[in-house]
Amino acid sequence: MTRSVLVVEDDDDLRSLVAEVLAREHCDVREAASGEAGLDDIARNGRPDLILLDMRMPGMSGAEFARELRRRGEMLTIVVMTAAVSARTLAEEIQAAAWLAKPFSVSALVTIVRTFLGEDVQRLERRAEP
Amino acid sequence: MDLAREHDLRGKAIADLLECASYGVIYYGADGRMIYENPAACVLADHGMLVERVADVLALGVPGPPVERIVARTDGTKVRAWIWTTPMLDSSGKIAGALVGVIPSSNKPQQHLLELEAVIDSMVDGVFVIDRDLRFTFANIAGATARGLRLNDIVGHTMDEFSARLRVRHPDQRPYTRAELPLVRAMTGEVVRGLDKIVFNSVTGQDVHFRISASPVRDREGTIIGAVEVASDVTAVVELETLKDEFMQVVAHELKTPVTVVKGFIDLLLRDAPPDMRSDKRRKMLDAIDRGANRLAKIIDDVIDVSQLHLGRMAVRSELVELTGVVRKVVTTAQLDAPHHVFRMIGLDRPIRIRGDALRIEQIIKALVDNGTSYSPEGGDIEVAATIRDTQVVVTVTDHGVGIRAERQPRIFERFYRAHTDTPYDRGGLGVSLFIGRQLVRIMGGEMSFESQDGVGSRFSFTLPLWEDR
Repeated sequence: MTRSVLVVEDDDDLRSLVAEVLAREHCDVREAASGEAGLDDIARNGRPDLILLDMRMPGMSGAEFARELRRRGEMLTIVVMTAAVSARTLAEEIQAAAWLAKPFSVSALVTIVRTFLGEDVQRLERRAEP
Repeated sequence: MDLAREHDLRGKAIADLLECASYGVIYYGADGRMIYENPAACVLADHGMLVERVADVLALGVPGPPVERIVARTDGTKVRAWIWTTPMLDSSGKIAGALVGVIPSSNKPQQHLLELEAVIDSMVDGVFVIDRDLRFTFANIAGATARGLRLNDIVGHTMDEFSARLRVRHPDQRPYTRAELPLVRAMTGEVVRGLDKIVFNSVTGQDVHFRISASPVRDREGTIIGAVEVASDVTAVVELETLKDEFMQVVAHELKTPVTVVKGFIDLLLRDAPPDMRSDKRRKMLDAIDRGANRLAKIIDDVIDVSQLHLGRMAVRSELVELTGVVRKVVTTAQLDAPHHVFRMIGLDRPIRIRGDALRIEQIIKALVDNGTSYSPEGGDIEVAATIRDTQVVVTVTDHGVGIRAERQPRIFERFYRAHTDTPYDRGGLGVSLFIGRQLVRIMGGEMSFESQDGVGSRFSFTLPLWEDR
């Protein structure tokens, strides 16, 4: 079964890069240019298997997006994509499963996607919970 | 003449004398309150300094030692004067009050001194002088004002009396110990230059940054009799530097996303390139863009690290790290990039549990290993070794390359210093990896050092604390 990945990122070029890499990994790619658009997408198309989330976006930030999901009771696997110095702390704060510090390489992105959409995804998801 | 009349006449003579005297006379009652002052004393601007001495005399009942002080007059001028204090006893020998004489010092040197003082008072920098007992004998107006103090708060007092109020700190906010203070160091004969300190001004409620010089004051025989400090207010410079660091951070941060895009798409293009394209010109172009993007990414990381360290905002974790795994990861990647080098791991055949920040430790080792391969262009061995010493691990990275010229060695840990500039081994870069490495090691509680011989090779060592189970 094809795994679906939601990419929430306001930078069009970066979003299309990530989407291209995911397409090559045979994922069903869903794109959102803002936190609000991301929530809409989940409401319309259901839960994705993985969310790649930018933290700093105009309007709803990545952290607010993650909090809103949690408030709605949606326990989804989130991987943070951030340019912040404290990438790891940001990821921990929103209980993300992992983080990709910009500038990340294609192979780092591929490794993350394969890890979280691979066979042991259940185990990692559980570990990501508090 | 009867006795009472003679007594009156003597009293009147003394009163007349006091009224026209050029020196000040003040009479205090046993309760310390002023009863009488003659016209010469009336022009003194501040009696605070006298009251303290009077209290001593009233308490002890013996004359205070004469002291020479600079006293301010109500017209704004200053005069250097000797101050005498003596108790007044009644007929039964009880202390009835205290008499204070304020007698101007001789005129000629005084004029010269006052001119000198006027010059020092008009300086923008603060000037302080202490005597052997670490008591301030002089302070200028700029020095007092910048610290939110009055001259009388300083002169005649020891530094311990008001140092708590000033909260004297290093630029990284660490409090100064007494022995670290520039004037205390100068008293031991040291000439202190360019020392930075932060002082709290309780009047403005703001921190003030000073750059301090201090040197001992010696008498003709060369004996240290005091110390002098000159303090320049560099707050504006420090604020500008902070702004510069913050600006660098913002710029570097904004570059991260476009660099990710460039790196990513080149990577995809390279993956798409057909195998027969290997010697193709276009393939070389893509490779060059890829290298360029990687260098940009490295520069961005370096700029952010340097400015974070400079701003004192570097967040470093203190967690359990397994060193052997970290070294293995670095060496494995390095071997791919440098196939002509032979990497050896020594003392790293078992897990070593240390305390630190895993990502930062990896960054430090990678920087040292990269330096090792960069500066041994002929190839050869790169050794990464770990030894346990008491509660620490010592990690060494050794290469057998070009080494560092002796005259350049003292500066290699400086920010932006590049030891191989103007040599055939210049590999570019910002010249910050060793600066960053040493600062990070220090934050994690270790130290970094090196030894190097021109044409033989270099060995860098750093220590980190071993993990202790509690």
